[in-house]
Amino acid sequence: MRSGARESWLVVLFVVGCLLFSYPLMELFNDAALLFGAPVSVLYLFGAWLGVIGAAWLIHERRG
Amino acid sequence: MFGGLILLVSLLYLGLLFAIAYYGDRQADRGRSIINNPYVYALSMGVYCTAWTYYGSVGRASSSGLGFLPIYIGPTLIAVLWWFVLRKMVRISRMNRITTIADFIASRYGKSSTLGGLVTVIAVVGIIPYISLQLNAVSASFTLLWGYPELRFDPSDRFTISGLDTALWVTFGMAAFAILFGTRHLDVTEHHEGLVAAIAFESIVKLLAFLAVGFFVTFALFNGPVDLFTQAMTDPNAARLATFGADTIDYNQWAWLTFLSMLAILFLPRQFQMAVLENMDENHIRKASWLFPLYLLVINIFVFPIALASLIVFRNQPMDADLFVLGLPMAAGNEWLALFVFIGGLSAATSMVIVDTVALSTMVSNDLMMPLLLKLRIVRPSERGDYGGTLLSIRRIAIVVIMVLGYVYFRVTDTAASLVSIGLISFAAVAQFAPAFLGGIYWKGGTRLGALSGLVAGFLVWGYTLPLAATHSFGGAPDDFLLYGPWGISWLRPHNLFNLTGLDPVSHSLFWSLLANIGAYVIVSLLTRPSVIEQGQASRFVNVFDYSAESEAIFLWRGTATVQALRSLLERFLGQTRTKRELNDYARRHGLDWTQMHQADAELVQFAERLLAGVMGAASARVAIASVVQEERLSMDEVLKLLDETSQVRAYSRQLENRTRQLEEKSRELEAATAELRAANERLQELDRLKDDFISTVTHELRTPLTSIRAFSEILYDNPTLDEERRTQFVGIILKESERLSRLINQVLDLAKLEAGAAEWNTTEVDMHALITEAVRASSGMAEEKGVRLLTRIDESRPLFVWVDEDRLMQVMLNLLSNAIKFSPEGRGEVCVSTECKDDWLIVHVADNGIGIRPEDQKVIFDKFRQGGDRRMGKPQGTGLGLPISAQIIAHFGGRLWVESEPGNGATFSFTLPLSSSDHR
Repeated sequence: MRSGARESWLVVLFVVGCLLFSYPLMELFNDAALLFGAPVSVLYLFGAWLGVIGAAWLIHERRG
Repeated sequence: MFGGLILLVSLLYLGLLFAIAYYGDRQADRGRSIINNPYVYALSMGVYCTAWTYYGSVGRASSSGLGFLPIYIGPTLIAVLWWFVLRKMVRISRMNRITTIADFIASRYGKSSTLGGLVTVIAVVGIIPYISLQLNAVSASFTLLWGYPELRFDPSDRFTISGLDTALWVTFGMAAFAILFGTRHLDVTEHHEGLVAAIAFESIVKLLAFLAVGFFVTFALFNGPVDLFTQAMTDPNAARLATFGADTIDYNQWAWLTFLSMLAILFLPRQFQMAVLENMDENHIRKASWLFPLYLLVINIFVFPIALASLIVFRNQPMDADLFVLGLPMAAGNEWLALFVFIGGLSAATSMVIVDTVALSTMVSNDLMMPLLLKLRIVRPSERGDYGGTLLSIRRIAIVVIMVLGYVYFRVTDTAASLVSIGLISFAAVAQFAPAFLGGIYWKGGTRLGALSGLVAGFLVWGYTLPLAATHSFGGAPDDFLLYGPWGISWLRPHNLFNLTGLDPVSHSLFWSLLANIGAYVIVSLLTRPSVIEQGQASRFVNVFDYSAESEAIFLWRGTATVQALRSLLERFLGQTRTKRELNDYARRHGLDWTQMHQADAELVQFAERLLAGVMGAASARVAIASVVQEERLSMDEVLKLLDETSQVRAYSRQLENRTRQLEEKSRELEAATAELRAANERLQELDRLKDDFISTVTHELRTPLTSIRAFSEILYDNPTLDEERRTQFVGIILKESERLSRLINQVLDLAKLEAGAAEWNTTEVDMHALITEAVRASSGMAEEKGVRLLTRIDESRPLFVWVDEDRLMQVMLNLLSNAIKFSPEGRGEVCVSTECKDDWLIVHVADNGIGIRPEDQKVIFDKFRQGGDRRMGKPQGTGLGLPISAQIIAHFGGRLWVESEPGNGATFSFTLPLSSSDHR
């Protein structure tokens, strides 16, 4: 990755993460209905959480 | 029977921890660190997950649904920024030999012992509820498990069970453990390798235990998560937990809790200890910043399923929600799993208590007690004595006192309060460090007084709105103080300051306390002038990445101290062996000889201060050093001058650097200019040579016809009797040669004009079709003479109009045609004129089937007076100026003239011309 690009991506990820875990987006998935056997809200929260971790992993560990 | 087993297993577990810690320390002494890798680093951060996470999360989830999650989402988000924030904290701490978070803040604001003391008080007071939470959880889980197989929990049991107060015993047990564990070393800047290894191990144990109960509940009590969720969602009470709303957690509270836990993960003393002080390598932060959040995610994955399962299993049975985790395996009669779960909870609680008490006791000894003792002259560094031992004793006493305070808090506050609500009080307390801390590392303008005011204001508001309020709601029932405010003043109600409603107590407290904190910090900072030492420290902290390790210390000190006095001071705190080793290293680095040196210079004094700071904190070290040196107070002017000199030196070196860079650029430019000049000069010389060549060629070419004219004129003149036939022949030659001469002169003049750009151009739109036909017609006589066939192949699909000077273009065509005819074989020659259109370009080819042009000649034929072919093969025909002139003309019209040829297969001369666009017609 270009020098400085990694840092920029981290800031982007932080902002995206804050958006994922705040009101307007969370309300979209605020539903107790079951999807694949689990409540939609639970799936969303854990999915987004894993997504943020995965993105952080990509940014930090990708070579170059 | 089972009770004895619980005690035995617990003791065995603690013994195992000791073994690991001992092994870790031994390996470290041998230089084989077992913690120097990012995985152990990330696991040691798992100390974040305490009994709160272990027991409290399920309790929280069973009442406020997904409201347990922000506590882990916040750290995940802030971990994304660790590479900036945490790395800076680590770098600053390493460079300044920071020992605790109190030391950090005190050091930033001019090594202020007042500030260090204040931070210590806030940290101790703030963490006490958190410690009481651990005692609460361990004693409650122990009491519940003790009653096995009976599943009955009465909170009052834990004070009476088997005639002993469980919580008190747990308190002393943990205090003893923390003392044994945490006060083994004096210098806190040296890594606690054994401790970190043990904590990382505990992180694994609690994770495995929690996952075990999670799997047991989900797959043994239910048929997998789908079955569990499906059953739970039929119960409206459980179904509501999966959504956000007023009866679970609203978005407002969610946002505040996320924000609060972002601050907590940075400023909790135990997190600071693990993430900053025990960091072995800044690069470990990379892996930790996704591995630690992953740990949090995994340990939380079963929280919600367990909470739902508990609501189903304990539907008709009263049960403390914070004990669901242990209650489920007990209710299922699985005593071994229950025991494992208890051990997991014990590991969660002990890891928190150990690390927090180590951090807090270091703060108490270094940042609170030592400065006090030094100031009150109870400890006199100039006198003989082993003060290292004193420091350790203070730490041990502090651990006991902190644990007892935790116990007292546990007894006097609401014992029915949930674990999470107790823990959040502590989170809000450490959040008070954020303004002074973050401001301190990103804003040079923050001053000591600003930090003090902010911390005091925030701490007071916090104390009033959370812990004080907590003592007024025994048994969950709020008293008049909470409901109507002190003396009935309603806007002073601790949970509704200024009659603010709509926020839960924690968010409410966080809002007001941070408002007061940040406001006071910023305003007072702007109103006060930082002292000299504050300015120095501010720059060292904010611009930490600009300083190289220890080289750029600014010596704002003048005074006299003897080496002997410094040495004995160090010996008193570090011991003789360590002092000797450090001083000898120093001498070797600086090329000094202690026997020759009596007066210490500023650098040595600073070195001693830094060594002491590693043991007793920056503020205490400063006081201790001041006691043995005759310090000359520097006046403001002198300090400014010193600073000025330093900055001048730096500015000068920066200037030099710039100058060098400029010079380098200049010389590069010069070099480039020289090269250009040289090229221009070469070109000029070449042109000069060409001009000479040209003149000599022209002269030569002119002389040839002139010579023959002259020769024949002389013959005619000398022989008036020449017969008519010869006479006519000679006059014909003279005429022909004169024509050739005038043509040559015309062409030379023409070329000169063209080259000078002085030619007259009479540009009109010309029909190429007509022009080519005309040129071919004009050349047909010459062709016939030589027996050469002239063919035309013209693209007639579109009109071929070009914007040129007709006469000039005709000149080009005639020149090309005459060349082609000239070089075609006699009798069987064939010259073909063809056109093609490519985009907006017209291409005209004139092809012959003559001898062709050798590749090496293909370029030179466009030069003046150069003709193709071997001169020995006979006199070349023409002047040698036709092609150069044609090329010039075509170039003038924006086209290009070139030749393609294979020797023996004829040559094709082609030129391009831009077709005139339709609007010209």
